[in-house]
Amino acid sequence: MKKNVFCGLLLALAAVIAIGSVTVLGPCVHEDGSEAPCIGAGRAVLIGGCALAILAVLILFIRKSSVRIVLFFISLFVAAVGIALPGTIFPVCRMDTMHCRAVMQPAMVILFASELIVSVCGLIVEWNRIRRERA
Amino acid sequence: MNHFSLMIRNLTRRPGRTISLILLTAFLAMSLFCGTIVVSSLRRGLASMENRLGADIIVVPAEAESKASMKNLLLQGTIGTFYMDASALEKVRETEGVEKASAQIFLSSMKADCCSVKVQIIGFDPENDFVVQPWIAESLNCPLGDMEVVVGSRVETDVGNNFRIYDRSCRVVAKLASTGTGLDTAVYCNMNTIHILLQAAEEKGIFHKIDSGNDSEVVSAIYVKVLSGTDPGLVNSRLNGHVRKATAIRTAGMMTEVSDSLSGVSRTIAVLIGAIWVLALIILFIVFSMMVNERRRELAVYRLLGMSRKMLSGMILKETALCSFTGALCGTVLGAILVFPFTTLIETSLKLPYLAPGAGTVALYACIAILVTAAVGCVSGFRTASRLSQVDPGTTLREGV
Repeated sequence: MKKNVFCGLLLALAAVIAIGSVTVLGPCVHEDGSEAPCIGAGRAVLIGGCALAILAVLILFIRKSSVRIVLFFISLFVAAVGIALPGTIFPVCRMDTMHCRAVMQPAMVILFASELIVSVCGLIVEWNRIRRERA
Repeated sequence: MNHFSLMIRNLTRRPGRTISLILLTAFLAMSLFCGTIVVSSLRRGLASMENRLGADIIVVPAEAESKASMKNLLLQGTIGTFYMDASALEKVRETEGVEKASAQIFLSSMKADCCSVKVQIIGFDPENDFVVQPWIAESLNCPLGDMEVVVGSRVETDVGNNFRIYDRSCRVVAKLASTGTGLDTAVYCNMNTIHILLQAAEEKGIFHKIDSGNDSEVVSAIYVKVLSGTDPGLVNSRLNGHVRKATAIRTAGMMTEVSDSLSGVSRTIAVLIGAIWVLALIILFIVFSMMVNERRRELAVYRLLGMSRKMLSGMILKETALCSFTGALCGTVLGAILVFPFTTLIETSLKLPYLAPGAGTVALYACIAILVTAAVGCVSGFRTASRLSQVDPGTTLREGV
């Protein structure tokens, strides 16, 4: 049970990112139907969330600690890239009253940063487990 | 084993109880810190709005839905495109009790190249202006030239860049300091520039027709400063009678409305914080009371091992202080993570002027929140500490057999 706490958290946060990016935490929607500059950032965040969810599910079902460490490491990398997705890698609207600047960007930075912290914790736990097994 | 390591062991031995205490105090600190920051930001926003407004009366066209339009324009940056004949300015100046009058022309951009939404363009007369000019002077120390613009703090462009409005290129010469109002999303230019932009808008099919008078000579709002010693209410009535198809609005009334809304929000936040604190304090007392029974035998053993009553109560108090301080610190950090990245969202949701305090004030509020929460945690643990230190080891251990 304790072994899966961090991948459970990883999965929950990934689900919030993925679902949020297509609902309340998504990019701006123009009334005239034209595409907002932040639409790419919204799609990238969705892909990032889905990737993290898949990684979390894999960690949940794989028991071998060495593989889990590799997967936690990949999720750490994805989360680090995810922080830079809205605004740095993909553009967002330039006025900070826009929905993508006021809601999507800060929410996603917080969520991906939380994923990063959870991944680091997961890595440390798995690493300690390997050390204990070896000892 | 020294006292500190014993304390840490006691806390880690029962992680559930320790985490609950930390979470509870974190919740207390977070509510106190977030509430204080929001209320303080609202007060700063109102003060900033009062400073920036500078006029006693604003005269707008009758169709501008009077107060609502001006208030929305000032608070939320809602685009206002209403016009009246420029001759109204002379009539206002002629009115008894008027010291100064300055006109502004509003224009809505199409999607400006800064952003995917429209921005408000405000044209003013630098020679007669007493509203925008003092504010602009803080960021620009030379006269505002033709096809030059000054942008609000929230318009995402930099000084020296060109800003395209209706296919006309304007140079950004200054960026204004944040006011926490809708004026942060506006673009300011002189009268020549606004007339060029009005012409450019007409070329794009966006007209600024008025019912009567010359279409090329229009104004959107006239800001009025009354002579000192004159009753602004009286001047307001004179203006309403003297200027046709226009409405004079007293800014004091507008500020009072904003101030009333702010008081309402502050009261609601205070009541919510109060309710959270009362609930959390009750829970804290229950948790500590439960701890008295739970740890009775454990502390009896400490007494048998030679710990004095004073040492025992000190140890319990230190445990409580450590939990409370950790919780208060976590709660304040969490509060900062929740409040500061979402400043714009809070501002647009509250529809009130909102200006976050400076780093020094934030640090001060954080320290206060941490200290108050930690102190409250210690006080609620004090009763438990004194009750547990009174434990008679012999009786307690016999009872447990």
